[in-house]
Amino acid sequence: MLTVIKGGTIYDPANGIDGEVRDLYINNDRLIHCPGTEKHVDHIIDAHGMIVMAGGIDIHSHIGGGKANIARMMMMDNSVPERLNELDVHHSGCKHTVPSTLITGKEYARLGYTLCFEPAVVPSNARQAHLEMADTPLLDTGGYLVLGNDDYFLKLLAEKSDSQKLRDYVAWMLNATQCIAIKAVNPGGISAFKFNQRKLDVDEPHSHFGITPGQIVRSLTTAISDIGLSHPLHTHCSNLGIPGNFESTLNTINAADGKPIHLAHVQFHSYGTQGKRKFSSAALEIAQAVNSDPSVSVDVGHVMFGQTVTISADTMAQFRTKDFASPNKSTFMDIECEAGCGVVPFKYRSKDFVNALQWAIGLELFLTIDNPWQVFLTTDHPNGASFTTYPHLIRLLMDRNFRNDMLSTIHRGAVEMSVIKDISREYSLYEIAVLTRAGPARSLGLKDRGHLGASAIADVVLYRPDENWDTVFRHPVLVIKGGQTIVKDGEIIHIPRGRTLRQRVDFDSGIEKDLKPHFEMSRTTRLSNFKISDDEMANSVGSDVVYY
Amino acid sequence: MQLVMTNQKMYRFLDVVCPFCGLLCDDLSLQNESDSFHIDSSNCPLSKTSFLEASTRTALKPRVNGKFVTRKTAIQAAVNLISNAELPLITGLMTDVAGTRNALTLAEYSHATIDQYSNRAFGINASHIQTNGGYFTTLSETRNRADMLVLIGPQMQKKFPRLIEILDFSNPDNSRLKRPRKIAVIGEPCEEFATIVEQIDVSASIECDLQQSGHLISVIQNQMEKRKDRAPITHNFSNSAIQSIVQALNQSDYAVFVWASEEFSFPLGDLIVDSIFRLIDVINQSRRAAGLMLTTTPSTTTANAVSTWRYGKPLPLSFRSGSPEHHPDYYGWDSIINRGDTDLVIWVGGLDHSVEMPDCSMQKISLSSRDSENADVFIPIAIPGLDHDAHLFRTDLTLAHYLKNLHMNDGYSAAETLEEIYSQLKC
Ligand SMILES: [Zn+2]
Repeated sequence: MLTVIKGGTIYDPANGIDGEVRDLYINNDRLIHCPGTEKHVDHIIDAHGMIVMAGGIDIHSHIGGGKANIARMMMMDNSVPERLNELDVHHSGCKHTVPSTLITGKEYARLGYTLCFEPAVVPSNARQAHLEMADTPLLDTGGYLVLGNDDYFLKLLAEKSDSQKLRDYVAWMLNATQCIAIKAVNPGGISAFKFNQRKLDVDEPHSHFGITPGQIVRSLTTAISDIGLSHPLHTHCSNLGIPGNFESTLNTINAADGKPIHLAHVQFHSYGTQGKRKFSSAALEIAQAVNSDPSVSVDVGHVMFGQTVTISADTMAQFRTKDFASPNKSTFMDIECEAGCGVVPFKYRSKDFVNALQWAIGLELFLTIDNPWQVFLTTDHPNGASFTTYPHLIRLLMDRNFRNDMLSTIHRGAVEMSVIKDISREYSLYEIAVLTRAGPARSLGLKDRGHLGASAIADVVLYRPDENWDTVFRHPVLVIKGGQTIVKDGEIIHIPRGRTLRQRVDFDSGIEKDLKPHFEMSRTTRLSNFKISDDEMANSVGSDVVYY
Repeated sequence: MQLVMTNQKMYRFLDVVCPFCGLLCDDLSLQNESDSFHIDSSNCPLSKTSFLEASTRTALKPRVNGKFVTRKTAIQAAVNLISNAELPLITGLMTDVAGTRNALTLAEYSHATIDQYSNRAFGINASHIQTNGGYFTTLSETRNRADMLVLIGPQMQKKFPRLIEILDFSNPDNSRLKRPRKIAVIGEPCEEFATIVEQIDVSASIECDLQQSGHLISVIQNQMEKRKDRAPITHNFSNSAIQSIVQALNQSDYAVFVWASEEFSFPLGDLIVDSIFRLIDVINQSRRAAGLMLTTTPSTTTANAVSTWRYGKPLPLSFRSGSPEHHPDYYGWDSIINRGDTDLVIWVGGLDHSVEMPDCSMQKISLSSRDSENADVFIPIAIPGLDHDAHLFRTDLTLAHYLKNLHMNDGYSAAETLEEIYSQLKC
């Protein structure tokens, strides 16, 4: 089946195309070069006047795993049941701060997103995360495995094991859990909280294992580069949410020792202690560090005003916020000597100084980090806000007047403390395409995603220009996934099942000799049952594995 | 699971997962001899009998109105009953992830109400999470870190025979901990438990009527908070036992409270769960503690996990309006049957070895691994993990196991059968 998308204006940063009118050719599920005039075209899509981009990629969004389910239960009162039987399929669900899986897939697709990464897969919960993501149709997915708070790794580090052993363990775990990248969440801190430490700074030793977050970051970034993973250590830094934490963030970058590092939801880690309220923006300090070091990337984790629920593996940080829960309830979990989980509902208020400044800090980061390839567009869904606010966020980045109008509606003290009002930068469509497509694909090593060149997967989105960028990005005219039209004029017209993306990794399987007794003694699971095979993924979980 | 061939006719299965209680122990060795399977790695009476019974099942045949028919005919009869029903109820749900997925799809399509058989007990925990949240822990975390275990309702030992062994509390001098582990027991211990207790250090045991345990826990909480203004009365609880629990909690690094909410199925039983979490909250202000909920059948945790991610809400769910509604009291399967608010009961079994389809006057379809003579349509199905691959969730809500088919019997899974019914209903 040959389809041609005619006359659209293409924004395809991976191939250096910035608003050129070109035709795109799709053969089955892939884009191809112009096949020549003799080929029969089955389908012509008229894209004249339309903005054309590759399918959106969310590099950090909590869409699967046990903590999402806990959040759904806790936020049930604020859910809105929704029917979806325009089609032959019966896929109703609930709109939520954490939507049910079918609604998640549908809402992402309607925004032109076709690929999404769950950034906190806890090893023992990996099977659930994949089962949930397999039930999230319309999206391809991938997971980042949470390490660095697991007893086995901390013990290896405490015993000063050689780097080969650490590397093999990391690769083995990644392989066993079908994940694509490694995430460190408050390195060592989740474990320390289990030993009743309530705070752990980058150079502070864990009371039981005697090692520091800095050491954990160093060994994980080293292991990742030894393994050859594309995506750098996806790091949720120490001291999330604490005024003055920007120093921990800078120290975490230093701990990586020049190895590539990604800082997740960096907005929550860019706080200073200036001003009479002892809370200030340190976005400029963080931006400067990013601007001066091309091996650092960030996603912002922007906040939007309104009700949400925060979900994180960082039990230590979540426990600190429990008194601010709104509504007043919170859930915490200590998980399998490897991780944790904290779920705390939260309402960001525009007239609250801290919340308003958090909002401003997010924008400051976007607007002062020079290279769009080093920053990705996220709200850390649902922690800063739902992913459904992305079009609004894009408008804030692209439209200075709109941004300034919004400034006049938030807490005035926060406006005074922020440099936003003086920043005239407006993002271009090309840069938005970097933040939401090309950048994430490159960072994750996905050569056939995030761009519109020949041999790329045919995930293509058509937007209709409008003065209001929110409208443009909220209502794509057409969304094509793997060559099939899934959304037309806002309506879902086809619901394909997604696939799981991961990277092939090599390791010395001799590591299993050490791991087996560890599983038998300390884990309540056998090693052979812990591993998730490709066959299990395809036939029972319901998602085929694609290797990169 | 791993398969080892010992000779031409004998197989050994290693690391087999047992689906017969919520702990999902995954370390069984199974030997097949002639036509039956024997566990030779554990003394768990529950799994020993359950595996033996399952492996010596007699083959069942589909039936419609008491007469043996082909599977095709039985499926058609089920389809007819469902398409004529106005208020179908799907219950049992003693099944795996795939079975639950397809049962939910069928429920949505047929505007049915759907609930899991033992969900009322789980609902006590679910509604606590919904309104308050809580502190939870998992099996490995407890095994490696807990230096104090508080068992509320020690009858649980019958339903979870290997609990103490899995948590490694039969070994009081766990070398991974700083001090010997302690156990406190609240409630009336069963015989099975008493023999275990003899071997371990029980710091305090308070034999009380479980209905009073919520009050007892509040007394402990007040003592820990050193509050004199509240509940000074200790009723007829032993003051020395309370003191030793308080002292042990004050010295513990990680106290874990264990309960099976099934034991709290009396009026206001949910208040016990509230008081447990209040006490845990108080401890967490200065030390660490958490709760470990036990769920008898893995099908309950499984069904609720799938329902919550697919529809945003736990069970029961009603699709009568076309979209999912969750009113636990109103849509509980037993409430619906008791008030006659259904005209067709669809039972989905598989792991229903110890429970039977409710006897009621409505029309009944039974998909089960055991014979249900009172069903209008009976379609035999296979047992998850024993006869087909299956995903099940462990009691701690974190870990899902993948049970590889042991090929005990042939037969269709609940998921396959529900899929056939659904696709015929659609055409
Ligand atoms: Zn996150």
